[in-house]
Order: sequence, then structure tokens, then C-alpha cells
Amino acid sequence: MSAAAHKRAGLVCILLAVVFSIYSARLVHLQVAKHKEYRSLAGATTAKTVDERAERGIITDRNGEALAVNVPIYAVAVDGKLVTETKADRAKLAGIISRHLELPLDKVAERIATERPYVVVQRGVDAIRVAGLKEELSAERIRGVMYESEPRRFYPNEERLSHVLGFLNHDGDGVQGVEMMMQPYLRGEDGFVTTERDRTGREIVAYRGTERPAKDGMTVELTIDMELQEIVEKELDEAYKRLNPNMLTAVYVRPRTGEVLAMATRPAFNPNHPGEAKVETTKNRAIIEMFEPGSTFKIVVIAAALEQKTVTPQSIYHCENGSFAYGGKILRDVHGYGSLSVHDIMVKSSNIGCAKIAMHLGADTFHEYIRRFGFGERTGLGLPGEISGMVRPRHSWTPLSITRVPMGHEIAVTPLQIVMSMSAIANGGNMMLPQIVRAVRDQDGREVVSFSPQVVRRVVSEQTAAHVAASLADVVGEKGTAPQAAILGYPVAGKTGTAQRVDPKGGYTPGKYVVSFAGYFPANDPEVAGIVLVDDARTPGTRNYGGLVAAPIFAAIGRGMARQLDLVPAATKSDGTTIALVPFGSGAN
Amino acid sequence: MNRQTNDNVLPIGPLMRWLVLVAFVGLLGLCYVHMKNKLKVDGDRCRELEMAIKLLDEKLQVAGNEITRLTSRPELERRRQEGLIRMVPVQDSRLNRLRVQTSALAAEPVVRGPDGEVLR
Repeated sequence: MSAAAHKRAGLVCILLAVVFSIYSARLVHLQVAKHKEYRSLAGATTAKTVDERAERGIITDRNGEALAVNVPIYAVAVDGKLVTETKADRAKLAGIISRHLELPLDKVAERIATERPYVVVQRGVDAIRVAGLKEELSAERIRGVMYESEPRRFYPNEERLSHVLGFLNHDGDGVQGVEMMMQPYLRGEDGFVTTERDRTGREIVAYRGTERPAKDGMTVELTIDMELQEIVEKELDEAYKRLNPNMLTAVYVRPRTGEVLAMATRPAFNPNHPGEAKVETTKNRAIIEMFEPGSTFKIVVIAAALEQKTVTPQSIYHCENGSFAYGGKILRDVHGYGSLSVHDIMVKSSNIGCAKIAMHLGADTFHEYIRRFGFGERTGLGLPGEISGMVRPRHSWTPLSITRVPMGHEIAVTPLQIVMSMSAIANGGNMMLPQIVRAVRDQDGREVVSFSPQVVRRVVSEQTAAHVAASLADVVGEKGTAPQAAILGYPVAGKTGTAQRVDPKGGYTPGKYVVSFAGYFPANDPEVAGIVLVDDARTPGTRNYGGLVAAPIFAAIGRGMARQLDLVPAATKSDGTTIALVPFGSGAN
Repeated sequence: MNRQTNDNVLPIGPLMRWLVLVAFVGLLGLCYVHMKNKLKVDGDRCRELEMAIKLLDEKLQVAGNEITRLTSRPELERRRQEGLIRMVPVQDSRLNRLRVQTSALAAEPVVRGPDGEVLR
């Protein structure tokens, strides 16, 4: 090789070395210096964090009947930029969507003719339709359709138990009732998975990274028995149609445990469509409405006086023949009575008799017992919105208060408070904590939290409770104010209540009454205690009394419940004791 | 001396060693590609199965909800009113009790006091 050729070869080598050095330098720059920047850029394009939505827990009654479940629902949306550009493909896509979602073709075509990245075609599409749509679009290799999970809550029993269950807002959070109360247990915990996608948007499973599976919400088991609830709802429906009242509510509890077995209010609403309900219909009146209780409150003054031994059941008070002048005002009884024993004052529901017992007892002691029975404070049921009622402090009582409060005036209570005080009498003087949730279970059915019955306090002694109970049993007898509350075969104890409706502007609304009957049965071995309260029944004033309006509803509900609970019928002997009636040949000895 | 003969001798040993090495590396490469493909195929299959399970789960949920709806009280009541089902009340005289007293609600509960102590 000549020297010139050597020189040329050397130049070419140097040139190549320089070029490759430049390339190498660039490569090092990209791979090392710019490593982080380009890695994150690539990650942003291909890596993706996919949220996994936790499923909300379901709500059941005490027998496992589903009361609130989830329906898998999707919103079908289109990414206008990803949808294939040609008109023919858009038309094809519109045809497929229209066929699967049963929508008019022209409307679908109109909606997807867009360049926007997110256009909702249809909300509330069920999972099976979405699966069919996905399958066909995948086979046709059409991209740009998105499916966003937006599960819907479904309450199969519609209006039944609606006030207790509550409903969800648009974010899926409970806004009322058990849905709100048990939100931390029901909500669950969303999960996520980081993964990578190829250029067509399909997940590359091999590159899945961090993963945290979603934890579904827990099952909340209520103390409610839907069989009993159904009986209550049916009777309330019938009474609501017949009496056309402003409001009607009923609560039933098990006195021994404080478990709420049934709770219903009319008017009701359908929690499947809460937006269509009037706000007034969504209120759980059993816990958020306060009323003057009327004569049902007389159990407090009589129990207090018996407990303090101020009186005995046989103590006699003169009831002024129905008209008692005190503090410049006249206190009246519905019927005039002369001398009545404490027992009969309860049975006949004498306002004057109760006023005299309270005066004898003393306002301070009486006030203390009102608080001891739980009035003026929340019962602790736990449902959101529960109010405490209104008990005026002792120092703001007027001289007349001692005659008005014993008959359930100048005081405001919730129906649940009355039931719990009645339950305390039925339960031998022990006041129980009312409970609406029985247990919380995980996805495998294991009990995570259980709520055992809890005594709040002893209100009166067992002996006092027995004395009051004996009077309450006679209230439902022929001589009492509520013979219509009687249930054939089952001794009932209870008390009627009739009070004028309080006008929000002050004073009372003439001709409008809130009537109630609170009681329990069987009186000899109480299984169920409850209240039926009717606000402003459209019935003649002469018939608008607790014993005539609320007591028959209580009896009708009681008949159904006794049958459902398979309570053994009992008869009362001449000495007042009760015996169980067991049919011949039943096998029981 | 025939120098050309010596020059054309093929170094079979080293050549074979290289060939084996190249074949081995090539095979490793093919295995790697095969593994990557297998990973992709299995990943796709895994995703399909996940989707199928999810769909099955949703179908089960939809079917369960449908059963719940069709057996719900309002639905049964509607069907009763339409005359599709009928309720026959059980007469008291037909009841034959086997127990003297029942508590249909639950077994006797454990009752706790305010301080958590068991009362009965």
C-alpha cells in the first residue's frame, strides 16, 4: 500500500472514531445523565395505577334477610380521541353501542361524534350488558370505550324500614340511618395495583407492580326482625289510610335486652329513589321528633312515688270530682272521680290524682326520677339525628309545673324514650341500652364486633316495677282506659296518652291531638314492648284518644307478633295470676 | 514440501467450540424470547381469567339481587294482589305446640352492667 493510501485510510479511521465517539457520548448522555427524566417520561406513558373499588358491606336483619345490597352498575363513556377516525368506524361503534345498550342509533351517533376525551353515553348500565359490549368491541378491535364502575345501592324492601336503613349520597357515603351510623364498617377500603400498558392500552400483566387488594365492607346485622317489622308496617299502612294522620310511628323493643325489633314511620319514602322523596318523609320520627307524651308519662310519677315510699298502691287520693283549682288554674279529668287509690289513678288515668301524688312526692325528687327514666337525654341507640327531648331544668319550673308535668305536659319526649321507660318497668326496673345493631361480620361470616345487651341503670326496684306493672295490666282491662289494646289470649299491660298538639308558634293547636299507646306483652313474661303514636288523626275530637285510636293498632300489631313469635296463649285466673294455655295433645306437660 | 496443503487445514476443534458457543448463546436468546412470549401469553390469559371471574362474580351478584328482588316483600305482595300466589292462613286449631314456652327471638342473652360486668 502506498503512503497516500495509508494516509487516506488513517483519515477515514479517525473520522469514524470521531463519529462513533459522538454517538457514544450521546448514548451515555441519554442513558446515564438523562436516565431519571426519560424513565419517568416512559413511566407516565405506560405505567398506570388502577384503583380497585371496595364493595360496600350489606345490611341484614337478625335472621339474615338482605335489607341493603349492591348492584354492579357502569357508566359507559367514549374517548373521542381514541375512537377510530374514519366515519365508517364511528358508525360501526354507534351501531354496536346502540344494540347492546338499547339506545336509539342516531342519539348514540350524535354523542360519540366528538373529539372530547370523556363523553358519557349512558349511566346505570348493568354488568351483563357491559360484558357483552366489551366482548364485541374487543372482537372488532375498536378502541376508545371506557367503563366506569359506579355501584348502586338496592333496598329490596323499598319503603319498609326505610327510616332505619337510611340511604347513600352520590359519593356512596351513608347520609342517614344505619348506612350513616355504620359507615366505617360498611365502607370497606379501596385498593390499587400499579401496572404497565402496551401502546394499545392493554395491560402487560407481567409488569404488575405494587398491589393492595380492596377490602370489601363488612356485613351489618341488625336487631330488627323483618317478620315483625312487616306486621308493624302493614298495620301502620292500614291505619294511615284509615286515619289519614299527619304522622304515625311505632317502635317495638325486647325489654330484656333493649334490642329494637321493629321501627316504622308513616309517611315513608323509597330509599332506592331518595331524590324523589320529600324531606319530611325521610325523617325517622321515632327518634327525631318530640311530643308532649300525655298520660303515658304518668308511669314516671307513680313509679317515683312508690319507689320513694311516699305512697303505696293502696294509698287514697281525692280526685276532686274532675276539677281541681291550683295556682289560679283549673286542672280537669276527662271523667270526674272521687277518691281513688294510686293503682286506680293509673288505671283511670286521673290527671288530678297524679298531680296530687307529684305534689306529695316533691318537685325535686320528681325531677330526679324524670332524669333517671332517661328523659332529657339521648337513649344511646346510635342512629344519627336522635334528639334528647326537652326537660326543663328544675329551677325554671313554674308553681303550676308540678301539676302539669306528671300528666305529660310541659315536657317533650321521643317515642323511643317512652318505649324504653316502659321497657324498664317490664324488665323489673332495669333500663336497657336500646340497640339496633346486633353484630358486624367480615366477608367470611366471622363475627368481628358483637353488641351484647347492656343495663344503663336501675330506675326503680323490682317491687316498685311489679306494682306499676300491675296497674298497667289493669289499664287494658274493662275498667281501664284501653280495653281495645287487649290481645285475646295474651295479657297486655300499657298506658294510653292523649296530648294536644304543640303549635310551633307557641301554645297548642286547637282540635289537634297526639295520641299514643305504650305497652308490653305478655304482661306476665314480657317479650315485646312498644309504642304506637298517631299525630293528628282525622277522627272526631270525641274519639281522638289514645285508647280509641292508638290502642287498637297496638292490639292488631300485638296479635300478629304473638303469632309470629309463637308465644303460648295464657289465661288470667280469678286471683290475677296467669296460666299458659297449651292445647291438648301438644306433648307439653 | 507442499505448503499449500498445510495452509488449508481447517481448525475443526476451535471451530466446533465456537459453533457450540454461538449455538448455545443463540439457544439462550431463543429461550429468553420464548420465555418473554410465554410470560406475555400467560399474562394475557391471566387477565382474561381475571375478567371472566369478575364477570362471573358480577353475574352472580346480579342474579342474587334479582332473587332478592323477586322474593322481597313488596314483590311478593304485588304478586299476591295479582293473584299469582295465594296465602292460606294457618288456623289456631291446626297449631300443635311441642313446647310449653318458647322464646323465638334468641337464646337468653348475656346482660352486662354499665361497667361491663355480666349480670345474668
